[in-house]
Amino acid sequence: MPPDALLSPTPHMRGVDQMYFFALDLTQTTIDGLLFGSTYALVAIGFTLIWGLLRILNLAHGVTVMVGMFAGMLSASILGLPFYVGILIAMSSGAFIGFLIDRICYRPLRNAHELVPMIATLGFWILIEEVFIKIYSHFWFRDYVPFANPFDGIGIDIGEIRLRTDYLVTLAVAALLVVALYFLIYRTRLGLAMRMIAEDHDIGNLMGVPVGKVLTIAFLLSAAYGGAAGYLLGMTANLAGPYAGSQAVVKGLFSMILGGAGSIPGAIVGGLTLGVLELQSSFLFSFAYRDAIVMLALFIVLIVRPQGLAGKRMADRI
Amino acid sequence: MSYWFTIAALTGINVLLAYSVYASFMSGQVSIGQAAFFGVGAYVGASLTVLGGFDLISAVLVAGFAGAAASLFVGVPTLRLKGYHFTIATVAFAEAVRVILHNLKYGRPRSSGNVGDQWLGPDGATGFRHIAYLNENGITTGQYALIVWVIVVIVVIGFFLVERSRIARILRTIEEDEVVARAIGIPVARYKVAAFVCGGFIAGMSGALYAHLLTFISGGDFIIHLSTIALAYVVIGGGQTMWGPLLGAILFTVLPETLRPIKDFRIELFGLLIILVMLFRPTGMISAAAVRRWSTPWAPKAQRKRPTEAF
Repeated sequence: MPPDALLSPTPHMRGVDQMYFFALDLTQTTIDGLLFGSTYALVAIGFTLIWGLLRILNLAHGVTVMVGMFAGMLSASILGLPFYVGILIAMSSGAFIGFLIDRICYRPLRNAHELVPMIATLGFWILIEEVFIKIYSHFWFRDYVPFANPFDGIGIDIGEIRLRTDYLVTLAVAALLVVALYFLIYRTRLGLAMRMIAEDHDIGNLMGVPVGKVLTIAFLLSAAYGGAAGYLLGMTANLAGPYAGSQAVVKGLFSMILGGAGSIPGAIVGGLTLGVLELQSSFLFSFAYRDAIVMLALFIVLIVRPQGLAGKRMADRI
Repeated sequence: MSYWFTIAALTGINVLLAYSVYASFMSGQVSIGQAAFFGVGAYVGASLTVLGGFDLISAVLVAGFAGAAASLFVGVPTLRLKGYHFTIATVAFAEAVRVILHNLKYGRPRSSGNVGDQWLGPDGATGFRHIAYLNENGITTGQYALIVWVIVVIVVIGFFLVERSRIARILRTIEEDEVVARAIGIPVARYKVAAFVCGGFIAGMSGALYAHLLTFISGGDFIIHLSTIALAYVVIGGGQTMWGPLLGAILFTVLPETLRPIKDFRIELFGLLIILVMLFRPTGMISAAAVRRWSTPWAPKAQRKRPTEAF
């Protein structure tokens, strides 16, 4: 925002104005980044649940985001259903994909090396994404379709800072889901079983924990969170596209690692940090190099603090 | 016919890419970032022949060294960490490299050629066009495929010799247990970095060969899919012996191309094949036990045991 010449009669004053507007923009960007980062945090939570329990990178997680986004687009733009119904539809269709991932890519391969289910999820990702793109291009001839956003253009002004309502809704949904997850993990028997499995599968089995069932539920949960993230990503962008899943995989993966793999607070911290880093680097440096700057920052974090920003356990050095 | 020569050259390039993953895979280090070294090699190799006037072989070699330098930059800080941090760091680095390649612009205007298409060298998001070395020097696709496969054979012989040497045993020991390896006096980090840098060298060469085959490259070619597919060649072919990457890369490049009637669905088929191979042969298509059986057919038949713990 260039300073208004009428407001700053002297060069000295103009400098002060510039400082003021710069600080204002900086604050605005940071707040937007924090709000928008909550979607990344949701994607990262889906990743981190599976990683924490199984030490598997679920590369098919992007499929759940994509399916959630399209289920949301269909319910919002075509059926015209209200926001909260759309989110539930997106979450349940995401959960269905999670069920498929569990039954196809993980369950038959649970005794194999960790890399084997990971490569199977890669195959699943390629397969479903290609089939989906074929179906998509049969109906639409564009890269993106519009996604009805009921909160479009509405915002709350606090002083000169504007909070976009759709970002606030995104943050609220993400916060609600995170609180629900915390309740599940620390206050229910299912959560106790999950924490047991995260420590050791075999001992869990011996103690009578139904490991297979709990892991299925973990896959469903992770995918449902992916679906919700897909809905929110589509809604805030006003667009749904078939390539969104691949982008979400990369973003979610980086949020998880930035915060610390396998920890839920890590995923939240990582997602919010990634949101701020992205917007700040495109504001301060350049939009074209935005991703490169973010990735280099991540690379530096990995070297200096390999356990992530919020991770506890130190990585073993050899 | 020229179509099949292109496929042959592409197969050779993919075999090199698979071996670049396999080099560090031997020591148990999984890289999902080979696209970075492949991309660096492609841009360096293409720049050398197009802008620097190098000949093909030296450009490919220099591209290999560029890939090795990039992998040294990633490997030295991250290979000292145990576990999956290395894997993750390679993903991050590959994404950073992709974005940088996507925005690179240098070179000079072209003296001949059609109007509006006159830039030699990488031109930002439009990519690096007019890598016309093969055309200008009258190298046919068949001859190029031969050049690629000569390099592949050299690399395969190199791996064949390494596989039978002390070095392979040391790398396998590191894969099995790093603490034990260090306890018996192996400089673990040094070996891991060396293996990874060799992989970077091979990936760089492979990238340069790729750039000259396609004559047009852009940052969008070097996405995370490429790195994961390179890893998939190794895991599907079998990561226990050096024959796995060879088979995996050949099969998964040639098979989708030969299935012409369903060529619209070949990417789907690729995904499906990955899932099926993983479901029915989790050790990969060639396991160490199978190689042992075939190479010593006179040995008494060992009792077949169902492999549970792969690799």
